Amino acid sequence: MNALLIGSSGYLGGLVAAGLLDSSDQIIVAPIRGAHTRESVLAPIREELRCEGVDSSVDFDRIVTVPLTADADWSALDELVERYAIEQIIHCAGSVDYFNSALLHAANIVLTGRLLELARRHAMKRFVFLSTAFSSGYIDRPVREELHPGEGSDPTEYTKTKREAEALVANSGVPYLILRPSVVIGDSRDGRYSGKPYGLYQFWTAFERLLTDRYREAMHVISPRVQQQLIHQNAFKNGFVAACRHLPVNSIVNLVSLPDGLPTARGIAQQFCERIARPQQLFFYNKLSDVRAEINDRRMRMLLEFTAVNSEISAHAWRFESTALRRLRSLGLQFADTTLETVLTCQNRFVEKSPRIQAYLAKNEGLFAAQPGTVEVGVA
Amino acid sequence: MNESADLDRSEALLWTILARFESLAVAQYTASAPALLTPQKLAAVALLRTRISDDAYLAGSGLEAPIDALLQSATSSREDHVLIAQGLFLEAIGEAIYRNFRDNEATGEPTRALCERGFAAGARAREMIPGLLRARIGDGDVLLQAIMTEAGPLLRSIDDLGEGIDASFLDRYGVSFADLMGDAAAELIAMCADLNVDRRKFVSFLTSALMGL
Repeated sequence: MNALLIGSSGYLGGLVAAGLLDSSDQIIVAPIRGAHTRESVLAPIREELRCEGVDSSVDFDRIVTVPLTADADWSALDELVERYAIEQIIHCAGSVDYFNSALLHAANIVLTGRLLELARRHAMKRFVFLSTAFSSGYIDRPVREELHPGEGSDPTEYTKTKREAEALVANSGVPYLILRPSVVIGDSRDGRYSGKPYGLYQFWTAFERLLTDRYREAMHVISPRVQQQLIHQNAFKNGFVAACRHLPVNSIVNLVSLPDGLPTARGIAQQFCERIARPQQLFFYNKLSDVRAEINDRRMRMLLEFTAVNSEISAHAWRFESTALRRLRSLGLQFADTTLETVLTCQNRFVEKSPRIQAYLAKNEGLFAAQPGTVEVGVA
Repeated sequence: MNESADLDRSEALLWTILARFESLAVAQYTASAPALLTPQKLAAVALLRTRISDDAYLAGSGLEAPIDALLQSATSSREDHVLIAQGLFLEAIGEAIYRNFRDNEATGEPTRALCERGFAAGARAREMIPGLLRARIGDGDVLLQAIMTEAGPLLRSIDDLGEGIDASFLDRYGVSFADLMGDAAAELIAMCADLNVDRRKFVSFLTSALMGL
């Protein structure tokens, strides 16, 4: 089933393109905008396939990149759909700006609506929509694989717009498949990651930028003992492709790791601090308001404040139904669940690629604590 | 070229950068926000121009391209953009630069004097900007949305200055990009809180923009 892939220049869209090229013989038509070129879009896809050792067997002519120059190019999309006999839209574009209402509305609601109109005009067989595992907002029960009523409060406006977009898709009359990944991190086998610094990468990046200027005897980290909803990019890619292949239309799938081995925020932070920051003393907090006012290390305070929203989201004990994923596993899906060990693989890769952290490690080796003391602050 | 012998190369680079920034401020305030074109601002620019007449010290440095891109993203004839990108953000960053070099033992007397004057000029602008923003755009979520729209590209180009700033000023003056951004962020967070902008949302926006998201 040939596909129109929206968002191929993004991190997840690129992984989807690589997965589809490797696992099918369909034509993928990928509109590209702005400064992107065919080569800039194909480069990460090629690299992903090279890392998987399959690039030489993939016919890259099967991905057709089409430059679009303006918002008014929808007639061009109609023409593309006809020319390439496209039968499905795979919509991986969108904004993840947490609170930019205008951008979120335009990218997550308006764009989705227009793509659904396109799908309807051409009586497409399927509309595949990339959403998020957190589209329910905060609720006190497992997140079901169904549309959310939206009765909970939202961590960000992003989750709200994704929930609204899901409803648009499901109520459009176009057969659909909605995929809801949790936070995607690097490959479980080698840690490779080409996404932006979200989630735990935000903490690592903040450390790299703010705290590698000198050794600090004390580190302060907001890290509750709550499991973190992370999936590896190889699990995401395999899960996405398997869902497209095996799940019936009008399905919703939570793409999340099994809860058994999921690491906690505390475990992830402790692993990083003990191996990389290596202070004499580690102060752990559950939330920003627990942080001691007397911390006068400005950079440390910036790190705490800059990572506060993600810390707040990570403090919620998210739980997910995973009926669809269990079915896909039973059909042979290789889905690498996230554990503290696989997060370490990603951490090692990040550290290895960071000249600043490498310099920090080399410069401060003589100061590092063998094992830092830990202090729990504000824990009931 | 720098016309003074009492500025060393790194200070001349600093003066050149500040001259570029302040010249843009004067041009934009003249065109779109004349209230911010204060005598103090004009005096600071005049002082810069007595020493710096071209971009020679910037040309070919690692900062040339990111400074060009930053100033490009800050340039607009729209009043909303000028008030937010120039009046709010670049003035806050200017304050951080002036303060860090004014209070720095490694800088020479001419540079400290310049920074004193530049800081005072910026302080006058920062006194006025909340009232101008409130009158022109509003406050709270309305202002936050405008800030995200107008300042997003600017902040993303600021992020590209990091390596060049550290390479040029960290060893000699102990001034790093993270220090400057930390000072500017603290000032911006306080100003926006006074304008009823949700602190959590504003900090999240700053984080996204400054962390390369």
